[in-house]
Amino acid sequence: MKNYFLVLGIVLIAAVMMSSVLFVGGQSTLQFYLSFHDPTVDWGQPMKTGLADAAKEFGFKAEMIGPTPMDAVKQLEQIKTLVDAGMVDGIGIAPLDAKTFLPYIDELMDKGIPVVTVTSDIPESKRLATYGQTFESLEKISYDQAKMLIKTLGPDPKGDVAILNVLPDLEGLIMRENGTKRAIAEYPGLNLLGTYGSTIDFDKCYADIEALVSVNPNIVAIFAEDATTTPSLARVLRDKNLNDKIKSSGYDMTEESLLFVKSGNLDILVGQNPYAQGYLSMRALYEYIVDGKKPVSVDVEPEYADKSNIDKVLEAYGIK
Amino acid sequence: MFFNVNKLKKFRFRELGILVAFIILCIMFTIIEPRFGTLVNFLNLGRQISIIGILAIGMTFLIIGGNLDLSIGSMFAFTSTITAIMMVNGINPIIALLLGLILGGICGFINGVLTTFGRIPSFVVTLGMLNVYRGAQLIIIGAIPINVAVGVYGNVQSSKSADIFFFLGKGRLFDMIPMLFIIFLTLWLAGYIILRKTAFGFHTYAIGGSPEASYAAGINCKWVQTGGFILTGVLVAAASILQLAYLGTVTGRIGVGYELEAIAATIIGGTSFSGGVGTLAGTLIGAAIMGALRNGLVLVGVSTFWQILTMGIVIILAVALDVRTTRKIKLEN
Repeated sequence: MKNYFLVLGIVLIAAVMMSSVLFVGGQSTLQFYLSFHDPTVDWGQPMKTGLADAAKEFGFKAEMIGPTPMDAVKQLEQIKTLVDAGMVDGIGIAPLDAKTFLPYIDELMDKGIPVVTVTSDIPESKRLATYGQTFESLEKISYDQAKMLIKTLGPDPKGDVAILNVLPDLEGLIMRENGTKRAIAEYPGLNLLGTYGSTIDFDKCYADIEALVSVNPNIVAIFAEDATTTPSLARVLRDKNLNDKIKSSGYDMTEESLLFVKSGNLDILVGQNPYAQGYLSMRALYEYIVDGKKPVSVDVEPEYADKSNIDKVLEAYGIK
Repeated sequence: MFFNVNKLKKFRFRELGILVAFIILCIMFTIIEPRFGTLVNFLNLGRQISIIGILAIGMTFLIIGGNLDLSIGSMFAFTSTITAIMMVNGINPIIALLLGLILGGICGFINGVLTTFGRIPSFVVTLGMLNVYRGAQLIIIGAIPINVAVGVYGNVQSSKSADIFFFLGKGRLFDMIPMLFIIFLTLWLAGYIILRKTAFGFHTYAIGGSPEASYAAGINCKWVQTGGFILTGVLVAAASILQLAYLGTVTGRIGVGYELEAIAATIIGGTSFSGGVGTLAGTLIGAAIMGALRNGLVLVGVSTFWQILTMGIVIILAVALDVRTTRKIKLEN
């Protein structure tokens, strides 16, 4: 009986693997990959939809790959495994950090594998183009967003402010934080308490923010820099009834965060348009290989949502 | 009926079950995706399992001896960071490597002394040190990545020592076999000899099996167990510095979750949490199974979500096959 159980288990595993192969199709179709930090994060899902739509429209195969949780070594090893197996016709890479990925991107380009960067860029590398934002534009977007929020505090804002950042060592988030800090520095009446919420666990993040607002009664604004701290911040402000007292901004247009804007628990939300990043990057690779068209970088414009336009944004995202 | 252990009398050994599981896995992946079974891919696989494999060597010693170290991922980040800082501040890369190994030994010593002489369970000590090492690393690094590559890509002076250092991580023997894999196998062999052929290894098994009987027999349990932690610390440092040599960068995120992977490789390999039981041969196969799964599922095109599920199921099946085979061998004996 136990032998049958073991054999059945192995057959089931084989069936799972076989079923994925059945959907893969013939090897003559171009195969592209988009290597992402962590394909399980919610703000990466619109990117997956974008690349799937491009694949359907132009008739190639595209797949998002990446480790979970995010890990630069594992991300690189996945790419290497596929490249060494000769399974990659082109690849989009969302680099976890520039210094680790730069040599490898150059190596791929030297091997004749077209590479574009997605989400964040490594301009010093040999990549063909980038679809997303450069580190400099990430800083500027964050600066603009912080200025928008600070303006809601009045002409001469005074009080404590705080930044939330789930991964303060991630280059992209460092740039966002720098932009926010640059904006805050222009207002001498604002006192930056520090950076908080550095945990990918939503419960712990909530607890961190809850403690922050409890011990700092003079907080007037909180700037969340990512998709983990943003909904956690909104939840705390809602649960503690602090939306009238504390202004808030956040990142990434997940359904939950957009609904928080609608309900008034979040004041400003910025999205980096991951759908466009996924779609444009894959289309560029296809046109480069098939038509010889050199990819052109696109600094994907951020999207903004606040109470003035939230209904339109919700409609555009198909959220009721 | 699945396979007849009687007919395998000549090959009867403890790790037979998981070895069979590994072979079945490789055959299945090769049938579904022939590119899995190529030499190039197996050499990639060897490189991919090397870092976790080195960590699992130390973890095997600890678990056999009745302890556990949950801090190795954070220690990994800490030792790598200090080594990187030494290199970018002009210290000879080989000297930095040796100092990094010593630092790893010191970290292991701290864990060991707190556990043995402090009489605090290793689970608790290393759970706390997990945060201490990670926090210390983040404070030192300031959450900014450090790049140690040479030339255009980095800020370490080109030198013979730097060439040797980076060859250890990125080089290939005969232009083919990754150095990482060779170093892993060398360390594994050294660990195997220590565990099976030295008094230290024998004492480790004895203490894990019964600390009271070992003490009564005159074994210096505290120093043997501390020795296990020191050995683990040195291996953690070695793995972290090799990864530094391979990647050329250290960030605040490195090593996260590595302790669980090392434990998984060790336990899949047949080492028992209760202590006194386990082999490095099993750990090697355990690491190979995890690496083959990860590698094969990517090649076959299974999505990340299904990969996570599949890995869990196959790990359980591999261990079940091993437990069943071991029980059959014991009954036969």
